[in-house]
Amino acid sequence: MSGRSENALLPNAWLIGRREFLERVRSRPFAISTLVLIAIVVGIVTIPLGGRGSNGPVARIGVYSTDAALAAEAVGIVDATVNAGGSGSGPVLDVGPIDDPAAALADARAGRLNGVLLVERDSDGRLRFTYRSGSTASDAATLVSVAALSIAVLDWSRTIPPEANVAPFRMPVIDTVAVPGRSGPGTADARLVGSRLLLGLFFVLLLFIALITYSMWVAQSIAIEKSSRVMELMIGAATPIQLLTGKVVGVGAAGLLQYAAVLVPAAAVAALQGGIRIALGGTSVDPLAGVTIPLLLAYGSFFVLAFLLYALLYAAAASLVNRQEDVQTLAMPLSILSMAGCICGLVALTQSGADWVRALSYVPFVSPFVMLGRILVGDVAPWEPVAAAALLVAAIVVALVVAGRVYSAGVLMYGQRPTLGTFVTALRTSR
Amino acid sequence: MSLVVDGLTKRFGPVVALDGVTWTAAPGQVFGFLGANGAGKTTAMRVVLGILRPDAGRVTWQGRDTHALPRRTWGYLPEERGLYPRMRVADQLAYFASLHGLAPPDARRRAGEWLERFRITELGDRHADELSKGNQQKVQFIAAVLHEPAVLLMDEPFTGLDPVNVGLLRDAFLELRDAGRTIVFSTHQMEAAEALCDAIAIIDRGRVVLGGALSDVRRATGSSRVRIAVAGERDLGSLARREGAVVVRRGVDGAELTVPAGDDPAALLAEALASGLRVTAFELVEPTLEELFVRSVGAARDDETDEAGTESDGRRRSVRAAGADDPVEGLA
Repeated sequence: MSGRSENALLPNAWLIGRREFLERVRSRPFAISTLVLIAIVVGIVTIPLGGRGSNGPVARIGVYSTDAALAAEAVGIVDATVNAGGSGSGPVLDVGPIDDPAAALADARAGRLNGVLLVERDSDGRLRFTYRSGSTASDAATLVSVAALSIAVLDWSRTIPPEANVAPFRMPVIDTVAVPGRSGPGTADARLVGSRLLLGLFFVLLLFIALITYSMWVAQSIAIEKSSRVMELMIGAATPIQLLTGKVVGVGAAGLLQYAAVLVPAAAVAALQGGIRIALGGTSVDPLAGVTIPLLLAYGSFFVLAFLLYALLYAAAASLVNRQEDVQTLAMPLSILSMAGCICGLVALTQSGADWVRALSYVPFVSPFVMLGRILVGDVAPWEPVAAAALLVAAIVVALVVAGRVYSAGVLMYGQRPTLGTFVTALRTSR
Repeated sequence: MSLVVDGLTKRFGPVVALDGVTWTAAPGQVFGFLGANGAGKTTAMRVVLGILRPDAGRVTWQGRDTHALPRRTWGYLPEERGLYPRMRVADQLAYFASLHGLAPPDARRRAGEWLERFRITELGDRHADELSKGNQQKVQFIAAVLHEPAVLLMDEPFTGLDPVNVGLLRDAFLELRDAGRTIVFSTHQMEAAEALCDAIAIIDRGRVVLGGALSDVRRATGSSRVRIAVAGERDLGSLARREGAVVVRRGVDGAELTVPAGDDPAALLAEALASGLRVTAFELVEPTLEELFVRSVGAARDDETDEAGTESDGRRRSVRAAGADDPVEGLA
């Protein structure tokens, strides 16, 4: 039997990972921090119960007709139709008359208006509706079409004199026209977009916080082993790759457990908010609108891949320090990198179409944030997350090799200041 | 089919930690790797173990490169002692053994046997940070041998142990040797090495300055001495004036001196008797390991000084001087 096969990743990586996992989840600090996090996150999720109960309008629809009476009637019907889901706490979409259709169209292109409904009467009396919006396939467009039909029926019914022969009802012409312009909350279904933006903010920030926290767990774990010198014994019992993999997976699993322990009750509270809000007299807008299984899968995948990438590098950095207190300092560049990724991810929520955002969504260290941001605002072709994930996997393989070499020499280095030179020396001297 | 270390060279920047180190440890042999602090013992051990990559040279065990061997070939006791502070001793031992492929029940049974042997059975349920340093060291030793490795690499195993525990550890060494294990240990404690080693290598500033089977080394030095004890005599006559003679004791009841044995120790005895001394003891004494160490290391440094004095650029001397300090603590 060859040594290489006996020094294969398993089962030692599994044994190391299991020890790391059990030691961490059985510790008192883990239990306490989990409970505190649950309280905080559930609290944050609960806040909108008060705030959203009195939701104001989140977008506008302008209605124009040369016939002032017809315009007023159309405003009333569109308003009643698109806001039918509300329950007395104010409209979700603000519907009102407009005086200048050209200016209104400009507003629609700029995202300041959800859409513009033009109501005209043909020479034969038939009504012609034109709804111009950035998202003609949205719920709002459908509801506007329904409202248009209602307006036409009402208009037709007025033409019927008492006991007269009834002219047949003539279906109105209803066109929905896409308005080219930048994407934004005003051009898609407002409720969905609003919810997704909020979710995007939540998920991107959560990814950043979880990434930093759990990567730092890995780093601290290595620093503790090094400072207690047990590393000397471990390096004789397992290969650096086994040690690194086991540690990252074990600590990562503990992190995921805490993550789930925090998110499950938070998601449950969020899911129940609709009912709770109605009970409180608010609207029944679903706070989880936009949360889909593919979205959750994408988030989970990017979280795991991002954690593996960052945790490996945090581990390599931690192997170079002499004291636990130095971990923060040495991990600072990595923290800054992930923070930059987080900021880019937040920007991607509102500028997902920008070229530089698209480009960054493939760069491994920032792609988890940026691609996630793009996915959350629904501006991604199916192949794009797959390509970003593939690049991340490649980066993880490279990181594993580099981190393994730094780690194998770094854990034996004592009494040296961790500098770039130390890093290079570790790379050169390791096996 | 031995452990062969052949021409190992390892540099850390400008510092030469190992400079063509070569030695061989035969199977079932206790091999002492002797040297002062910073001589390169730990670096050599780590290269043998496969943790560090040498710049030149190779290490083989039974004809195979050591980096191609499974980790469980080795039992390693590092110089720096360390255990998981908040983990129970029995659990730690089972954990380390499992990393070497031992099934948990076997690991626990063997751990129990070793703990009993080292008279610390009651510590199995304690956390490591509740143990004294000596007991922690014994636990680490057990962790290194539990999986019954073919080769034991022990870096300063006797440091910090009291005489009773040194005795326990020595007995364990000999028992493991008798069981066919090859034991390589580094030390600067010459007494321990003298009591245990079949073969040695003395390393100084990264270079092996003396090595081989202990008996051969002693013989090869050609520096055996004769210890002569005489009764009642204060004048030791011509013996005391011989070159290299050292008077060890001079009292009212007698005296004792050692002189180089030369080629014919019997002639020395005849000379003593002829001069009228009342000889009470006459013994051929081989040089101690400490004497060999001091002599070989001292000679190596003298040679180096001479050599450096003839070099025009003086570079070698400066590199050597730098090598005296550990370039990376624990690496040399």
